[in-house]
Amino acid sequence: MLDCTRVDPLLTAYVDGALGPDEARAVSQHVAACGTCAAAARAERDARDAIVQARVVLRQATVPVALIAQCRRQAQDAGRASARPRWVRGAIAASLLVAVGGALYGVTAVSSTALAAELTADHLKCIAVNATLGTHQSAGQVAADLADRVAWQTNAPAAVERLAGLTLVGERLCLYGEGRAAHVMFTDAQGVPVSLFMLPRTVRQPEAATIFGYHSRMWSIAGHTFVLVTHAPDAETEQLAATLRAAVD
Amino acid sequence: MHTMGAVAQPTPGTKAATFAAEALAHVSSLHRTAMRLTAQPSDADDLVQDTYLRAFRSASQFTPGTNLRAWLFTILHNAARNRARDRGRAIVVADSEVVDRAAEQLVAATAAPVATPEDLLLAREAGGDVREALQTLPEAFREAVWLRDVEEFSYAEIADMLQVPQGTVMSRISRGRRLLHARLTAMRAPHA
Repeated sequence: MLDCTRVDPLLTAYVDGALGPDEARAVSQHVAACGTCAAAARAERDARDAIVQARVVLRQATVPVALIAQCRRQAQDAGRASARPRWVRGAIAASLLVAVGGALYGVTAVSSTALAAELTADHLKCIAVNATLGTHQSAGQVAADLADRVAWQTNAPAAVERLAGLTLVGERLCLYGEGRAAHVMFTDAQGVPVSLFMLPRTVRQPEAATIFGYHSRMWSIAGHTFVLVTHAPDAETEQLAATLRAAVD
Repeated sequence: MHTMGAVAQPTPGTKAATFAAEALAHVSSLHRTAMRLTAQPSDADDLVQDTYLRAFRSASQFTPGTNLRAWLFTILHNAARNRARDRGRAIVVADSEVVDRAAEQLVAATAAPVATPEDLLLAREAGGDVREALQTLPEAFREAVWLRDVEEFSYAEIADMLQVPQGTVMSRISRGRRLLHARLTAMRAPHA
């Protein structure tokens, strides 16, 4: 007959009915004669049954509509890519390289206005998450994180603080339609949040957009795209963008 | 002209669309798991997007006929581990002394009264006490119990997701359930 040290590791599978017939019989005989193991098996069974009874409640979840839409879009993008024959995909990649090399600005599936809207939403989301006014990361820490996460070697956080008079809040990675973007958050002298996004290995034409009253400016340097998003007045946004372009350059 | 008995072969585009539709059907369970693995709802959203991005890009690696939901959960957990590592968070290893000590402290704390009888009744009716008790478990135990008893994955599937041996999965489920039982017993006991 099995002893307690052999039986105890088998109790979970025993309770779940996942043991073979011989082992199940041996464990059953031991449990029938051992109060300690019987109590342990009962505890496991009762806990599992409590969860099973509450399963419907535990499984309740509200999935944000925007998240579902974003995931669907990713599926459509992936579907379009896989639907093309392999040689077509290669040809497209080659033509994109030519386009980027020849004209500087690449062609992307998402319009700049849609991208600005997406990043404006990220601006709002991240600012809310980071409780902007109560957080402050050092420029050195942010620069180290950017180098580590998106291989962006830069002294931009310190330069932006110095040149634009902004206060650094922190940074985080955001997902957007085409990959990951570094999101560096600041506040201006009036406490208005300012976001600077860096989209690695993406080149876009300069663009200005206003989404829900939030102004954005987009530009590309050295093969990366930068997007400024803020609720500051448009004229200030333009001036700030010029300063940021100089700071990031 | 139609050929009788011929079966149309799915095109790559059709297969991708079918795969995507089947994968997207699991967004709810992935999202609630992401909510438990991350501290912020926005991080959970990012984690789910990241999971689907990886899944769609590596759809060719999925073996048809196997459990798609388990495959997606494995990607989700891998992504969560990578994020935790990127952010420098210490990953708690179950069965370590740290978790053992936490578990012992947890058992010691179960005697504390938690709410009025009316609150307890309402919570119990909604399964709220189970949710509350699960929240008190050490993370490694809670995750194993959740994947087994709420999401109904096999021990082997959970081992793949958590990248630990199957024996460790069973040990975590065992200890998690026993802690949960102790917690629920204390919560459901009538107050003096």
